[in-house]
Amino acid sequence: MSNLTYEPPPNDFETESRHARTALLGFLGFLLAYGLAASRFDLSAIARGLGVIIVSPDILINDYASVAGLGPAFINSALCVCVAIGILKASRVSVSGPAIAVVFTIAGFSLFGKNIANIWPGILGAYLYSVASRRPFGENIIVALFGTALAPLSSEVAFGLGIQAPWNIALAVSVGAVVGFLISPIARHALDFHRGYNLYNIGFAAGLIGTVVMSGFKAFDIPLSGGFHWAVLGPLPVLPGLAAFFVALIVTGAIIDPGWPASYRRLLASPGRLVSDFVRYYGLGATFVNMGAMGLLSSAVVLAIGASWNGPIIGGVLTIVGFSAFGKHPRNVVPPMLGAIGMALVSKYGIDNPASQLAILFASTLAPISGEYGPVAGFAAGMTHLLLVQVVGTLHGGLNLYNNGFAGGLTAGLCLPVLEWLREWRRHEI
Amino acid sequence: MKSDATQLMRVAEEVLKYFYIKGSRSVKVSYDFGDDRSFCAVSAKDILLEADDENYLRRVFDGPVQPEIANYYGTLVGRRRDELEMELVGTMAELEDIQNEEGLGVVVVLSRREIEYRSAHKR
Repeated sequence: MSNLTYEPPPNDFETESRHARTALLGFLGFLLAYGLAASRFDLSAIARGLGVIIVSPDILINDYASVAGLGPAFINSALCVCVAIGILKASRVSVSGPAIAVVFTIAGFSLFGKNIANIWPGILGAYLYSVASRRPFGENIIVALFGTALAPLSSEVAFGLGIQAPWNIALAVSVGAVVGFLISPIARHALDFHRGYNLYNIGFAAGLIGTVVMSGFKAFDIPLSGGFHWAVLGPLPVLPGLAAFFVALIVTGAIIDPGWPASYRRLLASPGRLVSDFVRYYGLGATFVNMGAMGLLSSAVVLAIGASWNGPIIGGVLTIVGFSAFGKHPRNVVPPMLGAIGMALVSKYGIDNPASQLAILFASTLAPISGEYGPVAGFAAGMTHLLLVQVVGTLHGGLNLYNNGFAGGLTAGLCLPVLEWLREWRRHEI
Repeated sequence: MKSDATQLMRVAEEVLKYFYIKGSRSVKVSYDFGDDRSFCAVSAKDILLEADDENYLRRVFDGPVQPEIANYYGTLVGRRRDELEMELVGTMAELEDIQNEEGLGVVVVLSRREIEYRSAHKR
């Protein structure tokens, strides 16, 4: 054996994982408290709002802040987060970067498309996939929870197609379970296309499935019932609470790891491509600091582009914060976001377009491209992303909530061979 | 083929790539597939790892196996041409031993349990 000394890592993973689980419970408490406060503790109004959320068609974009108000929207988000944390706990999964990303993503998208009723069929489908594969459900938990991207399909079948009860519910559960089952193998295969350079990989897989489903609907002249709901809200009701939460994350990170500056410097050097579990390799302290910093940065972007502080935009911010434990940091997200802003400004779409505003936030799915190939490549990828995201939604008819993940997968898959060739050419390996 | 066996092969391929990048041009990989636990050993006699590199390898495998990551993202291992996925590899297998001695070269022994759920190793 070698006599070389081994310096033990500064963090014990199991302890960090327990602390991360506690932090997720704190996040759940934040959502619940904000939802209750925004509803002025009117429980009957919350119940009515949740009822409206559950029966409303969830085709993109259905802003729950518009159809039911911010309070019920946040309570719905808290309920969905509670389900996600409960399933993670029951599956005995270690809480690290991917689990944090999935919980924050569910929280974000539960403000515009996922609700406490429509997430279950997809999870059931992923569970049945594990049973059929004779593998523990815990192995498939990340796909199961991210796979709720196609939750609007269940809502549409249940409440949008005019099918009589109880057949509408039975069919909604069946269809949701089938796509939840299928997304498990397809998501693994989808990784091959972009090789981990699109952080929202499930969005790419769900986009492919949604395209097939939408083609079926069109073939049989089945119209979708969804409308466009987009609340116009200023920053005052939401931003102070969110900003306080992000600052609290930074302070907590600095307290639990006094040596966070060194860890954070290493984190900032990471390309961020899948799989970049920041909790496991840089510690929870640096990860929390990054999450808080990214929350403040993305809030500043929202303010700069003049977007409304509604469900989808807050959802975008929360998703970025979650993925800041799993690949995103200020150095690798800024170039694709600037690229998307640049293309929005020079193209006919403009920066006031809701799809453009969401694309600017979610262009950060291409952070690994700028992390690996540099800011110019990231900028170009962000420009391409904005172009694609405006048109790919029609393929799946808005059934896939992670439309930007779909566009990001296509962008990364198309850019990657060119970027690899360029790098090899510059190194004179061609 | 069992997915555990496949995953161990991917892990070995990534370690092989690591050795190649570190300068080895003669690498041997051997497997021992058991009912409960499977092992692989990757050895290179023509290199010696720097202290930082050995520490890096130990650090990569320090955390537990995370099947929820390995099962989903494991297909990325071994695919990239000149980029290492050692951190992902660390979620897929446990480090049994590293030998890094002058004259003997480097040997990395890894293992993986059948239907791994939690790492058997408490550190």
